[in-house]
Amino acid sequence: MSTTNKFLVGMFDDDQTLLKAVESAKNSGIEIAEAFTPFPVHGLEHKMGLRPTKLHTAGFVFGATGLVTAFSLMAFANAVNYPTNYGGKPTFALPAWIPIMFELTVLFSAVGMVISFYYLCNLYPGKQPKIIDPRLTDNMFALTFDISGDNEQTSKITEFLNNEGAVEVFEKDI
Amino acid sequence: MKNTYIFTPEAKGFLIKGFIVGLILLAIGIAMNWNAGVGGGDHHGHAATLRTHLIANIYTVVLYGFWIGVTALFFLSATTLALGGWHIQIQKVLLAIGGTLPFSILLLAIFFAVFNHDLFHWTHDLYDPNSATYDAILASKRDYLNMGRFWVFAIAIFVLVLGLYFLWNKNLNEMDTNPSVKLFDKSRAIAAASIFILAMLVNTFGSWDWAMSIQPHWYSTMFSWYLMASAAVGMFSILFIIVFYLKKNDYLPHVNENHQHDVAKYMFAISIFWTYVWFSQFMLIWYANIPEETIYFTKRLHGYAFMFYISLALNFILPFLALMKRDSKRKSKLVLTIAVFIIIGHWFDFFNMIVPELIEGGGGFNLISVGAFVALASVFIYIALTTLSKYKDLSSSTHPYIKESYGHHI
Repeated sequence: MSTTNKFLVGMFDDDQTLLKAVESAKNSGIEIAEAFTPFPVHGLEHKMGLRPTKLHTAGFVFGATGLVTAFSLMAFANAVNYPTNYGGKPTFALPAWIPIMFELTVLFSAVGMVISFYYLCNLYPGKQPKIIDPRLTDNMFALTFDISGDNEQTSKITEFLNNEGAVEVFEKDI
Repeated sequence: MKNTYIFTPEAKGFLIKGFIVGLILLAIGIAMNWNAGVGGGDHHGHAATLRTHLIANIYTVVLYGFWIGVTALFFLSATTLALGGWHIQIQKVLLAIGGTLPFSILLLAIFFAVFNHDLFHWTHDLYDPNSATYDAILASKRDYLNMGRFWVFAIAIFVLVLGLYFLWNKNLNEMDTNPSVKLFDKSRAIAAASIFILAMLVNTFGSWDWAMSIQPHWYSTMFSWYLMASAAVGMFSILFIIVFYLKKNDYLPHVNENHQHDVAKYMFAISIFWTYVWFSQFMLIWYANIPEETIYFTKRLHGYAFMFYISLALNFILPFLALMKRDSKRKSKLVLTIAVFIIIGHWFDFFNMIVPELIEGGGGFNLISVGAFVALASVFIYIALTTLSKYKDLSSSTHPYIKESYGHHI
């Protein structure tokens, strides 16, 4: 995206300190833009108050689409459009179609969920990554706060972060 | 904090009432089928007598109960061997379900000793070429299908299963009084032996001998894991029900929706696995359409079509749709309801394996079946809860991995 926002970044070196900071930020009404961790931290999404992902529902819809696609194509081709007699076997052979229906369910839901996931994360081929700090994929944790519109927040949040045990606080334009 | 389960008189009374209701239903069923088979042969050649009805239906429930015990031990072993931690608080419940094994083994031994001619067609005089009942196909299988081999395998299975149960019981009880890493390593050794013995020997030969050989002309290479998957879902459902009951009575204070979620996940996953095996077995036979293979499904679809399809609905469609969402796996009342249906559904599945072969052409499901199931299920649960009340430390609170179980979060 072309527009850049200004963020205040607090770096932590421990996931438990980060969890505590998230909790007290919630309590004192400071709005966290995003948290960055090198590995999934248990309970972080609850403390951040994030709503559960809807990716599963999308997966179900994609899967159901695959099921219906496979069934209707086979039923149309084998039973309606071009019924062929193979040794007297029924043309509407549902049990024989189930493996293919299953395969297409899996294929559609897998591919659909990957594409949905990329869309939701705003990822696409050739995307330039916006890196807050390279250490975030290694051993550091970060909380970011959007301060583009409001300059008097900066000193308050900086103080808050220092109190919460952030090892480093800096501003970054992204 | 209560950490020893007390089998209260109310709970005992409830199960005794269940047993009596089962016996009453059984008695009504006997009265209704008193004249079954009298007057001889329907179009299949021989009609099922009251004796056959009783033996087939009781044997179904006993076999189901035995395999639930086996899968409980198997699951305990599998998670222990994989260094699982979440199940530590409920491992005593698994072991208590395994505690029904001595009872079911006793009943199975009685069936094999006294009623083997009623259950197994191949025990009749079929191998003598001069006999009127000579069966060339079965005669070619006589090296496997004979009573001597059958008993050697049966006794080996009984001894191995009981031995593993008592080893587990001893190990976990010692862990309560005197916990050590050495004991834990020992439990992993028992687990490794259990997995091999239960899955490879007990499950394979037990299901061939005791369920598949009821239809000795027919065979399926998928039968033994189909049977084990069926019992495993029943076992997870019973596990869920007992854990729910214990939670409701203020036991297991650290078991929360995360642990229940995991049990529900297993119910969901193994239900789908069961469907996979069930369908693979059905579809390959349906597709090939070879008479000697289709005979199995012919017997089930003619006369038992309702049982055949209802078991698919209860064991696949219902758990698949109801337990798919994460949120629904965490709603314990919903999972409890599904668990009851699954237990009934897999009883129907065991019924489909055994009864249509002994009572051909339908009519095998009646009040005798329901009575046998209700009465024996009460006895099995009574034994499991009695076993559970003997453990001093219900939640295994001194186990090396207990902290992992307390902090389990998914």
